[in-house]
Amino acid sequence: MIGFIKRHPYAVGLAITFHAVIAVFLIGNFWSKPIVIAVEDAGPALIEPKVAPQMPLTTMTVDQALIDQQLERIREQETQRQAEQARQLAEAQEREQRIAQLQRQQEEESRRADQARREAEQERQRIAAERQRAEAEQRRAEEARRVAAQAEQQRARAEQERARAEQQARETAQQAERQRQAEERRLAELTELQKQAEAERVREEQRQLELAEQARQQEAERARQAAIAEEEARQREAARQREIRNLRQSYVSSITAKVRENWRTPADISSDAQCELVIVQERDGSVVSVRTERCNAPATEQFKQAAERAVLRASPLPQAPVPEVYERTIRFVFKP
Amino acid sequence: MRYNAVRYKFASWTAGLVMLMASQFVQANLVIEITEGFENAIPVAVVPFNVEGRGAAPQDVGEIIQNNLRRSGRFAPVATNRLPQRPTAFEAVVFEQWQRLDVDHLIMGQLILRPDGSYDIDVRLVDVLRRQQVLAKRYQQVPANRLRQAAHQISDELYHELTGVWGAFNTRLAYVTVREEGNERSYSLDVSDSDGHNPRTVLRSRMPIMSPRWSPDGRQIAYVSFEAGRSIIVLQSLDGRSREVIAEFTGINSTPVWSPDGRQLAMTLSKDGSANLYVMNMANRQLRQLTNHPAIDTEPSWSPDGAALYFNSDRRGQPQIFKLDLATNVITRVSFEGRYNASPMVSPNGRHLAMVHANNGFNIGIMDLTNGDFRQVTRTSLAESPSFAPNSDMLVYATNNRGRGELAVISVDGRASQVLRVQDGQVREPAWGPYLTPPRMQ
Repeated sequence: MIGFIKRHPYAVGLAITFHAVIAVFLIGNFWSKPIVIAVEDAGPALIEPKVAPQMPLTTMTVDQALIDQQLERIREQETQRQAEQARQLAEAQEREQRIAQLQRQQEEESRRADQARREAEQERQRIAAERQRAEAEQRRAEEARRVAAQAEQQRARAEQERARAEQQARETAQQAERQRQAEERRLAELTELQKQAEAERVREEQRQLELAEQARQQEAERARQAAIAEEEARQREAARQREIRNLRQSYVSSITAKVRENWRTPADISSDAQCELVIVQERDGSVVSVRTERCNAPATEQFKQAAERAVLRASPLPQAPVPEVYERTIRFVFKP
Repeated sequence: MRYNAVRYKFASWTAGLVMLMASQFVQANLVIEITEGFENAIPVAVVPFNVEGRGAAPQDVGEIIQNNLRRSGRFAPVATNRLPQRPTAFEAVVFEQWQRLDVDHLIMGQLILRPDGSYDIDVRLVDVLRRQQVLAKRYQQVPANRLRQAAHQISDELYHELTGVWGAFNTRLAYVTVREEGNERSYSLDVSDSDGHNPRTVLRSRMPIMSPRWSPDGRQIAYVSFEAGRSIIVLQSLDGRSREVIAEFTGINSTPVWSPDGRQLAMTLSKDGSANLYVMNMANRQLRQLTNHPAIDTEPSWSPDGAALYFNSDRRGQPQIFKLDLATNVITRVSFEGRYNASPMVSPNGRHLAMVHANNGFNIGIMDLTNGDFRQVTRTSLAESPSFAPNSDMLVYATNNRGRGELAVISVDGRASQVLRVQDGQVREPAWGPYLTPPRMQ
């Protein structure tokens, strides 16, 4: 109630003033003029200008806009008031003229009033009866209205309550829904995030795998290239070794051939006899020494000596075709 | 037909007998002609052996050695006038000079006259290429009349050093010489050194002499003589002091062969009808019959271990070689090459079996007993009576050169050969005798 007053001070003030004027008017009428029944004639009295008593302002906190607004309004009202005063002054003058006129009329009317009063009394009684009946009727209607209003109020309250509950339920549901949705969103977001993280992780793994694969391939390629290079080097080396081996073989063959050419013995040598000849030679093929090793059983002393003689007779031995195949000490198996 | 194998030996000799015990009788030398040598005979230099401080020796030991080596076919001695130096000590050898001569070995030495008139012989064998003294030896107290034999002995040792096989120079040959004297023929059983020197006649006869065989100790010879008008087996000592007829049975008495230990004498006798093998115990002259077959079993040859006899038999129709195991009396055929194989002779080392093999005439075939391989080693028309040298390296056989009988020596591998002949007659029935001085154990 106070809040309402606070919110609408002028309206309240205006209402109070209005009620007070009415009350005063009624009381004055009642007391001085117990019966006033001239609704059309009551005008001038009733519209007697009255300045609305200033109500003490209730302290309240307002904002500047409101203050400005109010100040504006106050200034407007002041302007209106001044205009009103001027108007009222004019009106007052008009009214004094009219009062004089009225007083003459009143005297006339007082005589007509007495007459009317008697008639009015009769009418009053009839109206009173009528009014009692109307009042009863009104009371009944009002009771009915009250009951109906109460029921309506109750219904409205219930309805309000229901609506409120519904609203609450709706709100609760909505909230729940919102929460659910938020939760869902959150979950979705979380899921999405997880998915993204997972995807990212997968991508990262993929990337790592690809990197690893790339590295592996690079490494494999490097290894392959290295292997190729190594293989090539190996083949070159093998070819060189083969070449040297071939050269060495032909070298040794030429040596054994020359030794064989110089082989001669008066002894009958078993064709199974064999010895390993160990020849020490100079670079020019001249034999430094020769000895037999690892001879088998059929290799007689005569065979060994003849083999050594064949080597010595073959000196100088064929020279190495390339320096690599030269060996100061040469070994080969010799058979007759 | 049945007597094909021995027809030659039983030819119709019916003339009377003139026998001479002529051990001191000196005959003309058996001339040796080398007909074939090794393709790659090894150059060798033999420096003449002089008597230290005196010059030439009564026997040229160096020359005998040189000839022996040449005769073996394996060596080509350098002519003496081409020798660059004549060292007697190893230290004096200038190897380059000998190498330039393409000589593998140098044999040098000298004789040292001893106060008693005998000689010491120094011998050195030098390997020119290896520049090593392979052999250095002193043979002591050799009488002047034994210098030749000493030279043969030295040759054997050198040969062994050079070839791994003992030489067979210090040996003798027995053979039969046939001479025409007017209308009559004379036969002599002769013995000479292996080089044909020192021939001596141990028997002279008007009747044929056949199949001389040496006793293992070289002191006796058994042979077949027809001095009695038919074949008898005679045992005769080389010193001429004894002569004994040990088989004069009815029929054939032939092919006496000493067992390796000299205690038995195998022979062919037909006293019971057919020619079979018998063995006589030399200690008591007891006979034991080895074969009993209507065919001819003859020409026995002992295996070196004395456990078996190889012999010739026509029990399969044609003469072939069979082997009789003396422990079991099991007879197995050995020769399968050709239709005619006779006169088996086992080499002293037991490795080879020589035989007369008919193939475009009669030739010498040699079977390797270790693997059965057979090889014909001669290309003549009439070869007979093969006999191995004691070193098993060579063999001597009789052959016929334009109607003239002579001896031939061939190496077992057939690569070297030489011919031995006499000027005034024919030679046949050779038998290579044992070492006069047994070689030292290898």
